[in-house]
Amino acid sequence: MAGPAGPPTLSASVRGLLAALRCGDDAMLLRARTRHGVGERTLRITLPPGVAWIPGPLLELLEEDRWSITVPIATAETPARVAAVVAIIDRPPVYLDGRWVFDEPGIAAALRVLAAFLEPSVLINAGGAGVAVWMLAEPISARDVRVLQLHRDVARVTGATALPEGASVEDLAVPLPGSVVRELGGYSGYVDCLWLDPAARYTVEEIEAAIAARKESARP
Amino acid sequence: MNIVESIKAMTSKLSSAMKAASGITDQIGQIRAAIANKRRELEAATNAPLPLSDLDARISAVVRESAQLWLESGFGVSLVSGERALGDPHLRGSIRLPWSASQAPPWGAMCASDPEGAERFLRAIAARVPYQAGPPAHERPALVARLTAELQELERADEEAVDAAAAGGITIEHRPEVTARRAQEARRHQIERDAVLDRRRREETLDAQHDVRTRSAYLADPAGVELRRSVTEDNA
Repeated sequence: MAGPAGPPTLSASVRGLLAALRCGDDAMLLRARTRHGVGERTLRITLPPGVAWIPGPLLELLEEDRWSITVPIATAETPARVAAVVAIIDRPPVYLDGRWVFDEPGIAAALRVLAAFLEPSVLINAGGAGVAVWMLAEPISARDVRVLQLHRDVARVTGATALPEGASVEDLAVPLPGSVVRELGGYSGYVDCLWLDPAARYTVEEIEAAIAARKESARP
Repeated sequence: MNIVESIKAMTSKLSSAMKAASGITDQIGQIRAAIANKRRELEAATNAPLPLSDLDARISAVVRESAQLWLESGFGVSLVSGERALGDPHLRGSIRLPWSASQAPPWGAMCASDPEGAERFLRAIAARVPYQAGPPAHERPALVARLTAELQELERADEEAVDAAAAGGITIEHRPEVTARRAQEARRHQIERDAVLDRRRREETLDAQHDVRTRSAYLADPAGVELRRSVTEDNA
């Protein structure tokens, strides 16, 4: 697979992720919470076509080094368009011998499965969760039933964790690299972007074809 | 070439250069005179008083308003109503007007009494007042637009000529507003450059911090090293 030579720098991954999830001139809403969920902020940012810098308010939050920040792929407040399909693998750490232990080989193996399914645009390690993002060639409506269906189908064929029944597309969010990992007790880790290839974009039909091929190969 | 010929050649070149300098200085002087004239024209077209032909409607309006104001005020009513007014049904003694026998009646009363006369009065005075009228109101918007465009063209020509002279080694001061604008632009550019540098520095600091804390976390745990390496190497 041709792609980036190595993990991007933090700033490059933040800029790349924002640029990838940007839908035209629509404003983006980023949700930020302190590690233990006491503080909460919503950042509304409008990005220029070429994201040359991390927007100032976001840069300040990253510098504060205490915020867990996510980028929802669609929200009720913004025009409801979706630019990506997201798969999340959930491997929560266990508290063992006085420290939090992650199933890192398990996460690595799961991320490899996601990467083998269809080369992702973004791969993120967020402590106990791995997140893969496949950018859509053209944003589609958030009300399009295919959005959640694609998410569930990708989860089914890759072993990722699907959103629970009744969840909405607004619950699909990508952890922002550089922000802290939240809700993991004593663990203090950081979200890290392992892979970023903005050129990797897919039509809905291509993703559906990859799901079908995976189902076919899994058939006995 | 001997020394005398060299000096002659240099003198000749110097003379040509001085003629050129003098030429461009004259040229810029002419442009600046034209700019000053154009500004005066623009000032007149914008702020000079309207000509008499435009005053008629205003004279009629002010007379009408003054009359109405006086009639509707207590002074107007007191002419006919109240004790010893013109309309007092129980008049005892002489009539008392709102003004005394030695006072001039108010302007509003004049307008109410004889509007045409009041208009004639104002018009006659305005015609006798010496003043430099500008163009009629209906001609001003187009005239101001044309003069503004011409002024901008002249100012641009002046700025370019000064820049061209500077490029040729002849230093001529820009107009004060050009100097001020360029200084302001330079300050703004400097602020933008500083902001860009500041952001770059802050992003680089974050990058370095993130690299250390994620790398150190991975290095502390062999499985973590495997995670980062396996994903990136597999993909690459």
